[in-house]
Amino acid sequence: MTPNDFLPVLITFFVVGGFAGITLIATHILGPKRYSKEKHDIYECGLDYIGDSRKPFSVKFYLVAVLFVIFDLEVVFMYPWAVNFRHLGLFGFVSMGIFLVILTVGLLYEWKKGALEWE
Amino acid sequence: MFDNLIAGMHVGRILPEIVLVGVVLLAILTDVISPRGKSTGPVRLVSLAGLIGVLVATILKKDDFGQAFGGMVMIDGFTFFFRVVLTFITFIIIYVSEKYIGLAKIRIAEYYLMLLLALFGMMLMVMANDLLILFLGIETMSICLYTLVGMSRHKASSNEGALKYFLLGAFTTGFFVYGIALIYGSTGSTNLTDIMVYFRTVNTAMPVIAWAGVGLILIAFAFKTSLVPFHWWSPDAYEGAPTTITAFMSTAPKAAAFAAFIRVFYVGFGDLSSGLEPVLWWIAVLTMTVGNLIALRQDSVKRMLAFSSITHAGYLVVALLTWEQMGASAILFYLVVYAIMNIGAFLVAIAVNRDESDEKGYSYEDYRGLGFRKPILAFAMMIFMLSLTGIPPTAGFFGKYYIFSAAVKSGFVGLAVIGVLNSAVSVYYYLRVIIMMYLKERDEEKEAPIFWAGEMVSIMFICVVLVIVIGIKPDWLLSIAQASVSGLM
Amino acid sequence: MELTLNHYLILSAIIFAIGVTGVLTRRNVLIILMSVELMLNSANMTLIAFSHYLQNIDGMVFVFFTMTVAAAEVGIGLAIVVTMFRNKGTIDVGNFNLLKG
Repeated sequence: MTPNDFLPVLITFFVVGGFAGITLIATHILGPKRYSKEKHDIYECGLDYIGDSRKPFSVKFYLVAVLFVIFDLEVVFMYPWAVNFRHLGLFGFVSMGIFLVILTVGLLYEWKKGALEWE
Repeated sequence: MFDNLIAGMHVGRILPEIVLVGVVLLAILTDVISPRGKSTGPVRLVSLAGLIGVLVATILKKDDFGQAFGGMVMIDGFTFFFRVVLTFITFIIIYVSEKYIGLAKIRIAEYYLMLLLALFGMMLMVMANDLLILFLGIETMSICLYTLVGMSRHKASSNEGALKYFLLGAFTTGFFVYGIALIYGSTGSTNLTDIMVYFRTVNTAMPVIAWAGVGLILIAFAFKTSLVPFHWWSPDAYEGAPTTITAFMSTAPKAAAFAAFIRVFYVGFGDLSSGLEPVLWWIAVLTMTVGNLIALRQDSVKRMLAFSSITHAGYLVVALLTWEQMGASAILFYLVVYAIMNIGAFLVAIAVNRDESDEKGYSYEDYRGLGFRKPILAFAMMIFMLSLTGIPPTAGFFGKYYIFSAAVKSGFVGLAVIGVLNSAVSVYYYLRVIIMMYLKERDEEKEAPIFWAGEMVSIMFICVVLVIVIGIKPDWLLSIAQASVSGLM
Repeated sequence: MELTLNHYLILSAIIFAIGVTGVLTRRNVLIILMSVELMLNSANMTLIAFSHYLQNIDGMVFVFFTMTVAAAEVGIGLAIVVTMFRNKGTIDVGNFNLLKG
């Protein structure tokens, strides 16, 4: 495969980018502009906002992030196995079984420790 | 097909590691089913029983040597030696910890779980014959150690030590993986045997990229074994960690890292020795000297022991430099002796320390007049200090003797002289403890109660006996060490 | 223009250098963590480039493991950062000077 094969992709890229750009610029120039206090609120109609949006996250989100990052990546090992399932046969199945058992013990651990409870 | 695959892998050769993983899973389940806040006792018992199981498995498999998993791991006398040593150290630390973790307010089962998992990582490191397995081993060990260092969550020094250790450790991982990538690119393999074959054939015209890879891996090892100029994490991590963990970190992971260091540089990069020699020469000199000079200025015994462990790593690099069987066996001997005397010294430090919740603590002042107050404890400390200094008839003397005689025989006379001079400097700070204990008056008003635990006393006693026995009759340990490295080269 | 092995190697070397610079100069723990990720991923790119060039699968397998290990490291790192933040109220490494060498 040479870079030339990517030419259609490149053309699409420019067409898409150009369309988005032109639309944005056009609405900016053509659209009417009326400013008022309501216009600058976060929600132009509906709720009044409370406080500032640049507040620190609750620490709970970090815990979720940590758990997600770890368990998410385990899938990396399952995709190649699933793709080659037939070829790997019983050996692959047993290996993956052991892997999953270890993971399950980990899941059990975090469940019982209360890491999955929000409050 | 299934049977063939299994037979070709020699799964039985890693039986100790399989047992260990089983023990870890069992310990986690024990923790989960025990009532809240009361799980450390049962988990500790499961861990201790499991470690005995690991030892039994290791000994059962002591004649089944060879490669396994298609050359990914190498089970030989060297692996056997370190399996036994590392399991013993972990066993001792878990055995003595129960009362201490109550004192340090870290009575949670994860303490034991992380120690067991760190042991698993170290076992991978000592049997790795492939950079992939080595990488996984180092990371498993390191990740557990980061957690262990930061275990005292409410102590700022523990947080800070863990953070520094973690950041520098992660930084090192980057170097290590990039180094492996470059080695892989230039040799076409991550297997140490293949790498050796490649370097043997192209030795004369080696591409720059391979040298860069070797250099990056050397940096990673220097970080892990805390060699100057990559040593800055170690005193902070050592001081912030709970003291039992400091004892653990300065012995077992160091032993495992040196084991991997020996295997990678003797087997994988064995033919590059002449090119690496000047670099390692300077690293050895700097490590010995800088560690010593900073240890001189410390007011905390814990920190002094941390910096002196850098110096001891320097002595080990001297032996590594010989690139011969004699040097390697001297390293093995020294690692065992160092583990014994260092664990003993840290246990005394725990017993004497005034207040565990104090961020600093472990002051020399606490030892004032200890020789009159607690003569037996002071005697034990004196033996450990003499041994760390390397004064006969203690085990430490022979440790240094074998290292420096190996260096002299390989023609590194200058290095041996610098090493001996450094030992002489180290007399100052080790003897300072002894002087505090025996030559200073007691100050009864300031004395804090001694922290006693039956397990600690028994281990301390065994350490003292071993230091003296090896100091009088070192041959048996040396011959074991020699037999262990004989298959390596 | 043909994309050769060298292009990938040079790109990954540049990314690695950016990562190293980031770790050494930034003071925010999270940004340091991101820089470490850059270093690891540049190494991954090198491995994949070599793996393709050598027609050898080992390098790609290695990348799987690096990715997992990196995830575990981030997990531990975030946990340490959270504990740190609870104790000190900041995640700037410049403020962590209780332990001095």
